[in-house]
Amino acid sequence: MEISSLKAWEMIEKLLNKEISAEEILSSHLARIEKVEKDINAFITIDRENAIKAAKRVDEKIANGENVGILAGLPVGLKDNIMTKDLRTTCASKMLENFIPPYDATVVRMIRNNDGIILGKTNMDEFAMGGSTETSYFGNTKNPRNLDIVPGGSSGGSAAAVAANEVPVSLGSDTGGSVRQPASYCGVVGLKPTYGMVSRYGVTPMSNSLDQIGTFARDVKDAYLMLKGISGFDPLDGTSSKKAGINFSLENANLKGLKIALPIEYRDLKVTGDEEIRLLFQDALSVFEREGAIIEYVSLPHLKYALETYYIISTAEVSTNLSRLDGIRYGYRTENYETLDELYTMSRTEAFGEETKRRIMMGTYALSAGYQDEHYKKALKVRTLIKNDYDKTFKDFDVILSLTSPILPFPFDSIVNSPVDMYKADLYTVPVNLAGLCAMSLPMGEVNNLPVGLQITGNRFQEEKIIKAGYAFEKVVK
Amino acid sequence: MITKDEVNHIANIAKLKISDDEIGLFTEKFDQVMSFVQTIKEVDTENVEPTYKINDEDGFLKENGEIQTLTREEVLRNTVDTQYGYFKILKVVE
Repeated sequence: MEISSLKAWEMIEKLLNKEISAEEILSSHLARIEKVEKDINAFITIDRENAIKAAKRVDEKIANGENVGILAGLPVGLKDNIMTKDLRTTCASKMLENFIPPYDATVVRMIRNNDGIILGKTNMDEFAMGGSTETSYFGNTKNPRNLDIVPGGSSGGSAAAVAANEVPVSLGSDTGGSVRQPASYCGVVGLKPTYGMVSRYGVTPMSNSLDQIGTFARDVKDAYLMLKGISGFDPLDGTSSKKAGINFSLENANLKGLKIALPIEYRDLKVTGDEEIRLLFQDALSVFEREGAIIEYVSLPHLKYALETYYIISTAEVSTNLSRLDGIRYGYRTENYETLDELYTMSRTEAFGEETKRRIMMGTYALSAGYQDEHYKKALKVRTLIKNDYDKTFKDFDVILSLTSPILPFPFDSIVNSPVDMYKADLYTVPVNLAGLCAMSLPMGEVNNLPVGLQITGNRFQEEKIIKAGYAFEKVVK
Repeated sequence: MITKDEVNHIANIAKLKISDDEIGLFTEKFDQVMSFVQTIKEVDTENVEPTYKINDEDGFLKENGEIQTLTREEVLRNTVDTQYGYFKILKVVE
């Protein structure tokens, strides 16, 4: 038995029973990384030395009979937009290629406090913008299920690392699906919590009103465990919620009487090539029905405007957020300048990739004089309508089911060249961020040997409902 | 239809430079994404309030107290050039 192929909760059980040590857990993963990382390229930076020290400390604690935290001995991969003190954090950009953060993100502190072990920083789309991890400055990450296929994005490295058994759990960030979509493409579980559930302190903001940290794992129980370890109110994050925290167990999770809504708008929408994915979705629905769930179609009429709304709001926030990268205090500085203005412009032009520039430009356009009311304000109003649609639905239903992505994981260098097609693949995931809801993607089967994810969406702070539903579903289909 | 001049104008505001070689293709793709988002114009938003933030809780104030923030060395560690413990840039006033 390879330790690295166990579930995280199994590793912890064995650790606490003293069947295995934290050092053994770590070395099993390091051996796995040694073997597969050259093909997968899930990591930008691996912190072997400090991970070994941290594992030794956990073993000492256990040997001394001290209490250990709920993530004891678990090697964790962190998306490279999560600040780690003294450990390079690049956002997969040339701009921050050599950036060494002077402080830890709150989630990093919480992982350490719970005796988890930071193993490394994972690859991503540059500044979390993209759906394939192909916009990274540090090369492509490959999908462990098929090396010719993208892992999804933007948290593609975190998803691939978990799928390839390089780490049992990892963190990503999800602004419009960047945890759920790569989870779907790599055949793992990806959980995006409610906005305000997990502190964003120390996470490079992409779109502050939409960003949320999420967890990757190989089953629902692991995703739940990881979320439990990182959620909670944080005074350092002004948008952190006093309601944050996970206070329920998975015992007695079942689907009996679960009220499920299916948006009519999704049923009526046809995407080329999605027929087989839809059949798989029907199979999943029949599982829910057989187990006693009640399924009904409902209308959320403004869902069909979610993509456009998302791309206006998110890029507007991107353009303001990335204006801090000016070549002065940190980040890349050009050598080609004679004036201060040239220093700013050339540093940004030389260090940002094409997709990052495009989104900064979109946002700048949407916020510019003469267009602000027409684009940005309008989008904020449509956001209200989308939120109202969800609020209405969750008065009568527990969860909403849909696909995670309308398309199968795709080959490299295909849709990345067509931004509009790339954006359209976010159809099912972006409305969740606009309304600040929680949602989870979990594997529901395969088409052409490629994994397909099912998305379970719940109301704000109703993690219990989506996690229990996912847990019960997973048990039945296993 | 967005023109090359408009793209250059926006790039200037965003402190980016699109080179003469790139401007054609960039404008074409930029026009595609900007026309894609136009459809929200058809939504009736009369009397609808905008949503700037999604959480329904009010913000909170931090306790007033002394805390240790970053040291000068930590703050300056990631910059290219420093002098007398400050970020060093070009002289902009005579």
